[in-house]
Amino acid sequence: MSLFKNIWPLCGVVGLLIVCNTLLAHQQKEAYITLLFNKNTGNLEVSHRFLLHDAEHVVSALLNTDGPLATDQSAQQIFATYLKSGFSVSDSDLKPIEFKDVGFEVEGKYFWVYQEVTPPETNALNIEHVALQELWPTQQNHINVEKDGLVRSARLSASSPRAKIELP
Amino acid sequence: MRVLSVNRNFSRNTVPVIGVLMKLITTLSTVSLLLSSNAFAAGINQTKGVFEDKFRQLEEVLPTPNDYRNAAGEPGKEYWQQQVDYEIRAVLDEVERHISASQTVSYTNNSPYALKYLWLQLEQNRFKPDSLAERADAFGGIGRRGSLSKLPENDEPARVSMAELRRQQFYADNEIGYTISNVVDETGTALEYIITGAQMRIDLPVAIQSGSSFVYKLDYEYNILEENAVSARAGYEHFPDDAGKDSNDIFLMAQWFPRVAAYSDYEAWHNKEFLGRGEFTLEFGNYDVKMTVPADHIVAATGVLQNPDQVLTATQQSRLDSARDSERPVFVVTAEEALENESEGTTDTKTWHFSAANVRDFAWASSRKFIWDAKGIQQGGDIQPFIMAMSYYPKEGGDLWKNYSTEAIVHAIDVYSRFTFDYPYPVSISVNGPVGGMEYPMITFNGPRTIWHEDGSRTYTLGEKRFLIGVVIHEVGHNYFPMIVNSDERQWTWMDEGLNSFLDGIAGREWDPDIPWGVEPRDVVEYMKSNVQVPIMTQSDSILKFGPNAYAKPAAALNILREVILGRELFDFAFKEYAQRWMNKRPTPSDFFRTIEEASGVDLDWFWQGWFYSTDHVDISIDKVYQLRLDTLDPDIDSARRRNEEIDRPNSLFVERNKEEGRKLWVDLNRDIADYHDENDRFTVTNRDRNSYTQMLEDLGPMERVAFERAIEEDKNYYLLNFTNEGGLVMPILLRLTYENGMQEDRMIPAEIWRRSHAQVSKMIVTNKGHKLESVEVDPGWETADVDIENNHYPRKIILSRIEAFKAEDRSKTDIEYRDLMHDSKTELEEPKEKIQKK
Repeated sequence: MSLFKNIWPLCGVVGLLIVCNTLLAHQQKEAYITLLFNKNTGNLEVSHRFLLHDAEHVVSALLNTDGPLATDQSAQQIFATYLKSGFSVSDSDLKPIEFKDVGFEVEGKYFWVYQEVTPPETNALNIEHVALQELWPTQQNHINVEKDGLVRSARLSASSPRAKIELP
Repeated sequence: MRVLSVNRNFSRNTVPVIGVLMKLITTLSTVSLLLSSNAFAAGINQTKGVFEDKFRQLEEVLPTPNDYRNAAGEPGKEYWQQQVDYEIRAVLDEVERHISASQTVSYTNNSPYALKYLWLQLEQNRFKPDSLAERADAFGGIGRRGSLSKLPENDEPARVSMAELRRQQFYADNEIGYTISNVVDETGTALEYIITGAQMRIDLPVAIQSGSSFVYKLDYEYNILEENAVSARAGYEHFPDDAGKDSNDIFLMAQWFPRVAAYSDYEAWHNKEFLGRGEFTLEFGNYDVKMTVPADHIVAATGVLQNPDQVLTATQQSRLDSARDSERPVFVVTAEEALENESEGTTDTKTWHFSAANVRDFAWASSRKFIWDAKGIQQGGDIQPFIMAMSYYPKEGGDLWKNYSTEAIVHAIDVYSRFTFDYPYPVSISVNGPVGGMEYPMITFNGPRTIWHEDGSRTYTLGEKRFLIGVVIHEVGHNYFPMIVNSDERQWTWMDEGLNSFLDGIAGREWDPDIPWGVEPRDVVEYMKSNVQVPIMTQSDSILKFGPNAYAKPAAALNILREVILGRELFDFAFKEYAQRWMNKRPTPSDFFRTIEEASGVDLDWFWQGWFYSTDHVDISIDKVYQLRLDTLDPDIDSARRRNEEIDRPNSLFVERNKEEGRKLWVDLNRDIADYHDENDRFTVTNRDRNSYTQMLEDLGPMERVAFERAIEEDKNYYLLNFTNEGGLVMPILLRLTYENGMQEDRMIPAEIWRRSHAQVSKMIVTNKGHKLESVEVDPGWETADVDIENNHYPRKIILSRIEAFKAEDRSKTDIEYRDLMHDSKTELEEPKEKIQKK
């Protein structure tokens, strides 16, 4: 079941959380997700980069764990699972692309989550990423699709969580 | 004069260093011509060819210097600014969450022009349904602070968020915006005025002449917004779980009075209506404010408390006094006293009286929940020798605030003042409430709090600690930009947020360099490589990605300017000059650009163009490295080299396979008829060659001879490096040269190398004998926000992707920094649970 089932209306608990966490006036809520067609491996690699402090809030506010991004693998796994459950990609025929989990890590101020897949033949990717947007309405998940040295981008927000990116 | 050539045709007069052996180490890259937009298309266009001048002078687009702001970027000899002084008497109705007030405003017209009317900003009206902001809010657009809507898509209906519902319900249940009445002049004569959206125009019976003043009065009232419902940068926060009879609120009061709009030499009235994002700019002035609040409230405000005897106890005053020289913050109101306050309540009132000189705004906070601590700063100097740093926070702030809020204020002032000017205000305040981070003169609102646990304790994570320290430094830093250096946030967010983010990074690194503070160039790579961005020089309300555009990218740019391009000595001098020139004045972007250039003595127009006026990114590729060798021109030496080079080349595959098959060669079978050509190869030196060489030496002029002989003796290594500017943004080329002997050397090629060829350039580097080049790396320290490091290496290296590196290094382990150690350390030891084994 998606962890995102309650983003929108009629979700009392989440609704309160939305309100409580819109207060960070000077923190800019954004994450960067890179989808790289890696020529070396032949894989389509996905790197999700989220601010660790944002991740902490998600863990404590949405995921009902007993501490903010605790050290144990399970807490980080929960956050990683949360991120991935809000992320989906389909090919130009809208056939879902199933990614394989690679791992996750903390580096400096960022929390990274990694996935990869052998890419299907397609001339476009339909991408959705709604992570953190129920917590912060201003959250923007910035997508960079990199293939053959070219970058195609999209800004996914709660009001516009999907984008179709044509591949070069 | 040509020094080296890649062909062997030379004349005697081109100096000896001519014949060149060119050895191509590898040739991997392709060259692409970059077609990028020209920021100056409106004026001068390159209408033929592909040449693009990245070094066009910015004067073509900057406003013409004048007597108000000059070509050096400093206030001109006729610089002027208006002054607006306020007397405000306000009453806070805690129960109704309502403010009623009267103001007397003295407007001094220092401009050379007569003013027939005054424009006022009524930010509380921005939340009324008929405001420009509300009417112009696009459904499904980027949205407003705190709530959002979503267009229908495929089979999904249109949606609004719970926060949006709550906002709408708050609007429906409350009358929003100012009620203004009794607008009169000093004599009590009514003044004509209109209110249009979030602005108000007062028409004057007689124009205010240059050098004259005008006084008006008005009464106003409004219902205070609930910050958690509306996200208004101010408002009240309710605490329903407090022990008090009616529970408690924290009131953060900002944009809380009708404020006269700025009037400047370059924009006249700054009457661009508040849309919710582009923040504020006002005139400097003196404030005298009295606010009547519940008697058990503690009030924090811009300015100095004028009546401590009436609102503070003797004990509180004594504690404040002892804080002046204390090493650590002293409690003026302790946690226990605040807890007692919030559990009682009162119907009595007190009036607090504050006065503030030469500030551009006034804000305050009031609550009975406040713990209050203070610590004096002995700044010294003439501007403001003593400052009182103070924090006001509820029990929810807990030890996090007790330990770090006031100390972070002290640290911010210490660092920022070093880069700008002495902090000029008598107090600096940090208040915890429902606003995550917001700044006003002398007072800031900051949001981080502790985590409550069921045992009643409160702890905080390392992440939240960093967030509090960071946000306090940032918001206190806003005193410098834009509260004192009074840039217009409504138009150019980067002028305060960008400069402030740059400085908060410096302050953070001086707090604890192990904490990942600030903006590193590498942090903006993902943003800058994308094709969804707008130039930094974009009006605040039109920016697509506010954080990276107005905060991170300009901060990274200034870091690069300081650390890479100008160096700390030049940059710090220029930056301080800008701050001091515009202290308590109103700068524009052109004043910043001009000052940094003028004070550093470096033409930076290319930098402003690339980083602030375009959406180009940095991607410099090293494509090829040629090794060149100086010919001695001595045929006995050079011909032998040529022969060896020929020998070093791979043999013909045909010849090799013939050998393998044992084919007999005709020349070997017929040696009896071999001639001179069979015995001497094409590299054979004759006396004709030697004579030519000695004649050439004889013909050299004295200077040429000295140069030639020295070059031959030194026998240096010559390398030709080819670069491509893949990203469009011209930048210095930072090189790390690694030699075969294991030594390394860093060199910087200035950005000006791109001035006549913005897409491709070549550079010769010369190294001493013995320093044979093994590899070259561009930007090895990731100092320039170069988006593609794969093409930064020559010979090319296989650069692992992030995921490849993750797999290779097996980094999938936990990070210990983000545990809630304070909480986890209290965990009781448990016996392991018995695992039921399958049978």
